[in-house]
Amino acid sequence: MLGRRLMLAAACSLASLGQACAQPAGQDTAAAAPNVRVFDLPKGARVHDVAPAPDGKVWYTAQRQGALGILDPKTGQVRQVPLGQGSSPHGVIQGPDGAAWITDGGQNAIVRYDPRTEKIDVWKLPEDTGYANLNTGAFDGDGIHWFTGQNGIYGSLDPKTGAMKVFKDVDGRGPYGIAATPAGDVYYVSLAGSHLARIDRKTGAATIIEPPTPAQGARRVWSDSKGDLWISEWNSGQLSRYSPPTGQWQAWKLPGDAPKAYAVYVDERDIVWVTDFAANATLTFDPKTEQWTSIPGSGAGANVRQILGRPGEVYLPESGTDRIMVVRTGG
Amino acid sequence: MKHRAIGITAGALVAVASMALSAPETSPRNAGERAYQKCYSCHALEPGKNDLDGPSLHGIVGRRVAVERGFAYSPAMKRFAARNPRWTPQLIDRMAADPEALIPGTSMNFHGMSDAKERAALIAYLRVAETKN
Repeated sequence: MLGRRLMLAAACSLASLGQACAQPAGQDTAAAAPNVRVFDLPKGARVHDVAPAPDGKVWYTAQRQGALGILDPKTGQVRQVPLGQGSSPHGVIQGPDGAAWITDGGQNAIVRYDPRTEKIDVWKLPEDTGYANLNTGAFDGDGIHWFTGQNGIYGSLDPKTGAMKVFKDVDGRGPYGIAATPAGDVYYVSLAGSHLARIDRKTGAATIIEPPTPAQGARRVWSDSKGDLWISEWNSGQLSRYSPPTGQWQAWKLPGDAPKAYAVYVDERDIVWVTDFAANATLTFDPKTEQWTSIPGSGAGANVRQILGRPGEVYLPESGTDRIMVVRTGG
Repeated sequence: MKHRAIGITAGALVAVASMALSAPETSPRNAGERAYQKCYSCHALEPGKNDLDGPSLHGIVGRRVAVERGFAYSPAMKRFAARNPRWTPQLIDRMAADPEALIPGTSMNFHGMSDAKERAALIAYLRVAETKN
């Protein structure tokens, strides 16, 4: 499948906040900017998360088809690797070993795909965990894989020994996004619990850090180069920042009347990317200037649920259109 | 800003991977409760609790479609509601089996329950649950 150059305006400035940048509903956009390409995925894949893969490729989770997808942006070629009976993968990241580490809700397991051998390893959650609705993973500075389960758990897997530990979140249902800082510390957020949590890497204990906005619906978290944490708040429609050294919070409301902030990512330039389901767009935010720009979805209801990238490129998986948008940032 | 430290000893569940997931199903109620765990993170059973990713399932069997106050339904769900006024057991069964197949474009992000017995147990559980909440 070949990538398509976008035909319409891609990024529009939102210096005057609230102006419409997204395309009319139902219109299959595509955009003009030479720095944006859109790739079709197998119909019904329902791509959820993406991650950089070796050799410039992009991994994605085909949640509805139980597979790990591999996109080669150079050629537009896509193939999918089945992950096992009942698989429904949610998150994917590249581990320090160069493998894909997948949080697989359908298999209630952490799954590893080795791109060199194509071997798939599956670590089921302990039986008494029950169905966890596994969500997202991150590696800490010691090479331990940490993960969240939206039914109210977080846990760890030591890739060397296979030892797995599962812990209950204090607020129950909700653990969603998880990320590591440059120092190797791990934080996760709870959507239903509306909190940020810092994990003690040695004990597994989580310290809850409550954002100042009540019931904000913290959905995803990402770290910038300084270790400050950026959080997408689904209920409040805010992008917020927490600074661990100072304990200070700051929040910015997304443009529009009723934004719904879903995914968040910080690129290598410390530009923050956040998706807004209400606007059907991905926004960038420059903390230095506090200016927003907007990149419309490639079609109606694009629903970008996660963002990731590598220096010079950002990947926007559109769960609603079965496409991946690749934005070259020139970094 | 507040910090709450969690007592981890109470929270730790267990270790060691590669254990089989084969909990015994001793009664339909247990099977239904277990099936509901696949809905739990996004759907509450309490009436009016609509601040999760999905609306409350309280009274869902026979309830009108897309009418929960305070929940922002997707355009796809609103179109579906125009053609299907109430959640019949048959519609719930099809929704649980494959949301995307029943309502193309739904924002409900669930892979579905392929086992018809599991879906039946879920619907039975939802009927009972509404009397308890």
